[in-house]
Amino acid sequence: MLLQLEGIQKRFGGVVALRQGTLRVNSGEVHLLMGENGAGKSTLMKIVAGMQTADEGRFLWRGQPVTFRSPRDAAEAGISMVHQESLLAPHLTVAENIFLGRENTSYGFVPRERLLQEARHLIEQYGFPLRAETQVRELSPAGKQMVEICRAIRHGSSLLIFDEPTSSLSEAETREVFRIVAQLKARGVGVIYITHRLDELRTIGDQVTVLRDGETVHTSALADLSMDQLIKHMVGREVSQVYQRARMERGKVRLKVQGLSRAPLLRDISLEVHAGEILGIGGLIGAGRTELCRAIFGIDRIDAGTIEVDGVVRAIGSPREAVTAGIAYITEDRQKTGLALGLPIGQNITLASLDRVSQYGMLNQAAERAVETKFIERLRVKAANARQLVGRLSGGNQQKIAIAKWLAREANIFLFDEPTRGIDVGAKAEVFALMEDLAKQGAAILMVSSELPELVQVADRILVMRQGQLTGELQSGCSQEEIMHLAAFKESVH
Amino acid sequence: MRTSLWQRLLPFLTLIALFVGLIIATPNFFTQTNLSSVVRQTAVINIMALGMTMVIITGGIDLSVGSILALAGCLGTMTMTSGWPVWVGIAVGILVGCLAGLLNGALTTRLRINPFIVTLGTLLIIRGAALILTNGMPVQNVPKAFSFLGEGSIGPVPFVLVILLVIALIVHVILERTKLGRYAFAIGSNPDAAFYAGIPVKFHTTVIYGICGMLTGLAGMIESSRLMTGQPTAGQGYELPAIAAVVIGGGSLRGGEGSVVGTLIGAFIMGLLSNGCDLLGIQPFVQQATIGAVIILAVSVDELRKRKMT
Repeated sequence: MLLQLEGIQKRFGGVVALRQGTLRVNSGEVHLLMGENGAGKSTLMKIVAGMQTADEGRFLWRGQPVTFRSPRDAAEAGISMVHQESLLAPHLTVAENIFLGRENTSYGFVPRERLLQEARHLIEQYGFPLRAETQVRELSPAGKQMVEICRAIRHGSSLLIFDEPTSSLSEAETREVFRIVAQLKARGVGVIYITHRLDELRTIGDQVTVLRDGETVHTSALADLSMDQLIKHMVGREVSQVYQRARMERGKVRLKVQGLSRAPLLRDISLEVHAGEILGIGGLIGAGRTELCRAIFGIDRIDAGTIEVDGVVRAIGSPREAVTAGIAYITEDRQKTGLALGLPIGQNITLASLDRVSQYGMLNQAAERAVETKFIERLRVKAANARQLVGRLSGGNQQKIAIAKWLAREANIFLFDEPTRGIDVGAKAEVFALMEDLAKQGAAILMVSSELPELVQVADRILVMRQGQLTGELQSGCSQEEIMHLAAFKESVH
Repeated sequence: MRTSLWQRLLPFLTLIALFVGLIIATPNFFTQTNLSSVVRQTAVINIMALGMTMVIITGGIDLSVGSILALAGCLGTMTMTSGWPVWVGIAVGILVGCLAGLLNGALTTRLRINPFIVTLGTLLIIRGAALILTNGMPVQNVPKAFSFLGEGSIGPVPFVLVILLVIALIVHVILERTKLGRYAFAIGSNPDAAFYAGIPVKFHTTVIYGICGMLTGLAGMIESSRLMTGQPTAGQGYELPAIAAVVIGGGSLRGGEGSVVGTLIGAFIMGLLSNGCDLLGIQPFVQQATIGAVIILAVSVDELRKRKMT
């Protein structure tokens, strides 16, 4: 037994993050840690990695009770964490990052050549798709994760923690991560793997532990557990994994894009979104889907093409103009571009619609409160009150706030960019229900998603993009393979 | 989770403790003469700090306030000495400050240069302009009536205190009750999210710098009124106590945080410290070091509090 946690408790002030965390990991095992956002997975892993200390409970490492006071303590014992957000020095090379803090210096100098050679050796050994001389800032998110993995291996870790490593990776990159995980396993390293992507876990997992509301509610071999059982453990109730939506009559064209181009990534894109319709946009990472949203929303200037809103051509040169035209953009990275994390929930909700609750620049506090309360209740945001800071909410609740901002604005064209990224099953269902509600009320919805099952289930129509062009249109109920085909191969249907 | 009440009150309690301590330690402290002199001495920095609060909330900084103060003072007093009424001179001073602030805002937002660099540049440019304009000589023969602005009293209350309180109230209302104030917080907290929400970020940022400049212009006129000259070399180094007041009062240089009450408390803590040191006969050199230590102490306590919350 490599790691044994029993009855771990952790509270932050009055909030209990963990009440009964139990986890056992063996060498050479890939242990999946599952649970909704806010279930306590991250807290438990931070305790294991020495970033936080437990208030109560037994923490055994190789059978010995231990307390890690810093990540360095944990690293010295052989535990490393591969972070979701990269913690590397962007201006240093891959090799320098791998050895950062552990350089074998000779007389205080860092021998560059030896460092490079050792890094190259390590990279070859595992077949990482990396070059030792590359500056880390030039790497993709996947590449950065690979560097973090190299670091962990180099430091002789016998337990690696992956915190949602594939949430921002393409299919090919995900396969690469899996290959590395399998190699680590073969070499007897223990792996704890946190993920929200139910589809990927069968491929790699051996054991699974499910946390709910700060408590370990289930541990077993993955093979003994059906997908539905797993979801039931996570959510605590039956959830139909297959999302079914009622189809409805589509209305007039609300958003019409014609011949939109922007060098180098968008080429001659034409599409229509009708009232009451959810139009899915599929494609691989880098196909230009986010760029399309940005262009429609006025963030990037377009080289050619027109954008019509409700039959009127609009010159949209800034988000301001897009918002005025009734367009809303729920971005793929809510923390970077969707929310002011340091401000209260209420202020985030009314951020885009202060015009509606103010006169001559003065805010009408009563009106503002009313809007805040309305959307907190309507979207069932789990929060103490509207004064709570958004940064303290779980991913799913943050996403709800990011959406509420546009509901308060009464936008009627919604661009959803990866609306379910990093949120749990329960919150996903709520987000879809919300999108459906909006469609019912006559909104036009454009949804970009890399989750093929979601596209197939939620969208009425799916347009597929490849290298900045639309390569085809599919109807709802098409297969995932059809989307992949259009996304990855050359022949065009049009 | 919420901050406990006493943690939030800590700066205020410090101020009270300092006040009571000084009453006990020295007989000359709690006298009308001394207190009104503290108010008069700190008013200029206080008013500048209120403008600085707004700028810092947007995530910016204005290092050029000392120079703006001097230029506004010189142009305002020159207006008076060339025959215009006193109020016109004051208005000119405020307007000059406002324009200088707008220039700072426009340069930062349009050229997308870090405000630290922009205002470091304008600090030198505006100081240079004041010196060129006056040929390096103070503006003399200012009308007598002008002294009321900085030295006058209404009953026992120094006029500058009235000005300070009115300005504080206005800035408080702007920050807490207007769209502009809300946008300032949003821009400071996450400029990208503000931009994506359709907020005209550049416009509002520029306006905030303009208001900061305006208040600095007013501070410049008060300073001139106290000196009864327009000094092209006035206000050198004033940006630092102004910034210090904001951060002691809980403002964050990362933006998105700060308040009028906090800044006032910060400014008065510094004012009392230096007055107390004077009264207790402590060397001015030691005074400086003390204030420096207080700045670091206040900010580290605040950081600890924030870290506890997350």
